[in-house]
Amino acid sequence: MMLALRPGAWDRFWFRPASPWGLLGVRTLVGLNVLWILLSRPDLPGLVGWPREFWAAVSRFAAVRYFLGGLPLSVEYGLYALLHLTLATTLLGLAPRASCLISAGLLYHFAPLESILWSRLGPYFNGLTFPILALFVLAFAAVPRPHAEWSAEYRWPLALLQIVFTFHYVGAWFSKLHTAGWAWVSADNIAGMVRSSMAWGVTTPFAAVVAESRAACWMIAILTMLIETLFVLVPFSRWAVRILVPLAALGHIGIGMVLSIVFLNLPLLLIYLDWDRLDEHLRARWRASPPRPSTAADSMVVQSSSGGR
Amino acid sequence: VTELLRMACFLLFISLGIRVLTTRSDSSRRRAINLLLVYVVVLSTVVAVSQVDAWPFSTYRLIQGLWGGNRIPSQIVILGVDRDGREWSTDPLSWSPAFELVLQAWIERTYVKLSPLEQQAAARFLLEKAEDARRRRVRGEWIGNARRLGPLTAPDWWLYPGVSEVPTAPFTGLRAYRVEAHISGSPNWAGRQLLLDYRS
Repeated sequence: MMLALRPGAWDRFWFRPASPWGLLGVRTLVGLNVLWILLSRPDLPGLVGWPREFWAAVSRFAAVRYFLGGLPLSVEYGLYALLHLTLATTLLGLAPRASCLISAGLLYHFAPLESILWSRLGPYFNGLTFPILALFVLAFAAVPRPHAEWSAEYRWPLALLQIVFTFHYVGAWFSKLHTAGWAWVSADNIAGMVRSSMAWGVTTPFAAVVAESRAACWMIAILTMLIETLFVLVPFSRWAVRILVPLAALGHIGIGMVLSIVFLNLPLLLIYLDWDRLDEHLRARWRASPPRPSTAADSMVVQSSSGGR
Repeated sequence: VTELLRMACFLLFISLGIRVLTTRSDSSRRRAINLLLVYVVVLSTVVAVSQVDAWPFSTYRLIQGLWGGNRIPSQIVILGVDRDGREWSTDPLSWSPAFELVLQAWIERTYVKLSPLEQQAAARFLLEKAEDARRRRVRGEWIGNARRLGPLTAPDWWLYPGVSEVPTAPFTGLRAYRVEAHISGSPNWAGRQLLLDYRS
């Protein structure tokens, strides 16, 4: 199914023809990332069978929201096994829409178990939040085929997911403004954070070094502010991708080495690769025919947007 | 009501996506896609700016607090007790699939509000898990979340300090303390308060 043409920046951004490799790449990255996390939580459904005392603070509405309660434990384990299966078929490209849809629905059910006993906000930093949205969007989008012609059908889902991912950073910055305000950006705050982690048993090699260095603390505070506020530019600028994505990756590694905080979705930063250029490069190398827009409408979009790419 | 509103946000996302999936004519499909795009971007922005969660449209809060001055952070420490009354650190993976941070918060916020009978039932369950983990560790097995992938297991969002010493004698009790530390200088334990004390 092809998309009708409408001129303007909106169309150039969302509906320019794009390589199918972007969606294939996102599907593979998300599938592998989720499968790794789930294989690392083999008994996650078992939490449903914990004594009712543990569920005392979980509201009935929260349980309803995540479709928890009522199902026998064996059925929960069966659904969890089905989730592994549909993720495998997602990765293999077998019935990809159905696989993505079922995976996303089951993930929405199981992911909150990671933190529901503590928080009703959802497991926003346990690595399964973005994949749920990604798998749903992939289910709604056209199915990408490796040798398919470029199409707008492969552009809008990728662009949407690239924007959604930026909220890991943008949201984190607004949370700092809400909670601490601009006072968050200070060497004292970073040093206190590191010392607090050390008090909780963090023994990373760089914790003590950072805690004692005001220069390092200032650098961390300012870089964090810059990356989290500017990351919103990444879906719109290749320059922002080249600068901010590697900086963010290094930042996550640094946070792990100083504070022992792990970002399980770190590999998903690869969704910002220039998939179109990669496709062009490899097609040229393989001497395949150059990619062509799939319709006259798409062709017009290419012409109208060529100056902006 | 808040929970149901959050669920409604999610269900609207699904219904807009299903509409994209099922709409056939080009112009209608374009409208459906545009609506989905606007909805996801606007909802994500509202959640980020307002910091009101509508998971899976998340606020993505991360290390957002202030740690300066004389703040005294507290932490819940869960210890196994052997028959001689000696306290031992428990393996953070003992509580799998729950992570230790979740259990610590549960003890601090929920356990303390339970009736004595309920507290006993919950503590007995935790002691069984701690003892099962101890036995497996003594046998050299990977435990809990790590039993399938071993060293390749995806951790919680925080890397817990490992347990160096595993007792050979069984745990016969469990204790949990709220431990406080001053952080204005170097880490310095300030005191601890007993929250859970269970003997089988």
